Amino acid sequence: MNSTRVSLILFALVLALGIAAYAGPRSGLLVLIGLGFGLTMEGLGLGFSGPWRLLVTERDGRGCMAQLVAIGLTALLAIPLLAVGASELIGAHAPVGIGMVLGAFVFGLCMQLVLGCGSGTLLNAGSGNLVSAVALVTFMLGSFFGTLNLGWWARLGSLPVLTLQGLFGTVGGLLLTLLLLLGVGLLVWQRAVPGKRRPSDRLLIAAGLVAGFAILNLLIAGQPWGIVYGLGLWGAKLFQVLGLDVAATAFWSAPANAERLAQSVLLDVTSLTNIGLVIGAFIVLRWRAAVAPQVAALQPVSWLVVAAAGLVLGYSSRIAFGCNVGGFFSGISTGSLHGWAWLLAGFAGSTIGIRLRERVLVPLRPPVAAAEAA
Amino acid sequence: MNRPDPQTPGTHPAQAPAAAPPAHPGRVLVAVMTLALAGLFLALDLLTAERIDPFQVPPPAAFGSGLATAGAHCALPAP
Repeated sequence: MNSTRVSLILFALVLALGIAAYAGPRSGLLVLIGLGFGLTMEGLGLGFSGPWRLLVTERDGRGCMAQLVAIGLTALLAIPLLAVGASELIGAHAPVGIGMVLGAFVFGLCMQLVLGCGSGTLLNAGSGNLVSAVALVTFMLGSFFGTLNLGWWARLGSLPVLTLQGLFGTVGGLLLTLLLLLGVGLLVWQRAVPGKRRPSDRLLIAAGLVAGFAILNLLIAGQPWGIVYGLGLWGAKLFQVLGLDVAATAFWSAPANAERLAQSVLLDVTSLTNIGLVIGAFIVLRWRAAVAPQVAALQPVSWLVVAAAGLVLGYSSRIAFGCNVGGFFSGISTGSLHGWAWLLAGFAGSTIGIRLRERVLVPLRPPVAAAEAA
Repeated sequence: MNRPDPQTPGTHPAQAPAAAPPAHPGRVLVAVMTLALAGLFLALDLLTAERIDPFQVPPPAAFGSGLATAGAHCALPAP
């Protein structure tokens, strides 16, 4: 066991150093930050879709409270940093629009079907969850397909990009963000049953660490933590290799995207943290003495549902300007109004997804029960 | 998640059929296959993407660099 753990540490260090040597120190640091996210979230059990489901089904608000703490801690530093480093840092700022709200709603629904959001799918795939491994492949394709229609969705109608600090100043925007988070926290507290309101120390530590890594991500990458852009980029590169003229499409011909498409993914900040997340989850899997069982075998049609839901997850998160991480977590923590719209629409979709899940994810009948039925 | 995971069907006693068989392959093999696929993708990317010039890589941190961020984010608007 000890030799396995030493090997895992060496593997992580060699990977980060190798990437730093090839693609520069920023890339190496971002892989380390991704590893930090992965180790923290997988190792300490902080997620996004699970806590939303537990709040609805079991009136357990502890995970949601931890999310709010993480977002609040990040906002405390991120919003002032964006004001100080306006020429070097950007926030996750996007417009609230019809496509954005619909995308967040559908994403919230589908994330309950594939057992994870953007980060959750990466983490679960890295820790060997077969449902997430299947969904990750189609998520990537869906995220690329979303880039092909993003302009159409944007033209359906949207507000201008609005941030709370833009409306009320840096201090006012930060205070309003914290007050709104407090308000959501009170709603969660009210919904949760006694004993399932205050997050455990483990979750609070995880929230603090995630906030710390999110701030480091902002300082080093120059932009907040995101997931979906990297997955869409991987899909675009795959289709490019297959002969599709991706560079001629509207989204991928825009200067920033064209540059990413031509460059190695080892220079794309979102790809780097995504890689770190998957490897961090793998390290946690191998670090532990006991490996949890694989997910239950599903009916063939349920696997098709998982694949389709992954595709829709990718597509919807692209038109929603991010998943739970890029839209909800980073949107709110950098003051964007679209983060709050994402929360409302995503949570509404999630409550429907929770109900759908038991109908569409049907496990295979156990052999004994099947024999008895025959 | 390695511990019994309430997000995962078949590992949560409240929602899974007690004797539902686990899917195959197992977790470790799926995780290794995921990493192998990612490695394959990276190798393909290194072969097809522009070579990285070590003298043109971005500074270690965007903050304090004096340069506008060169990244792209999920929140990027439609062109």
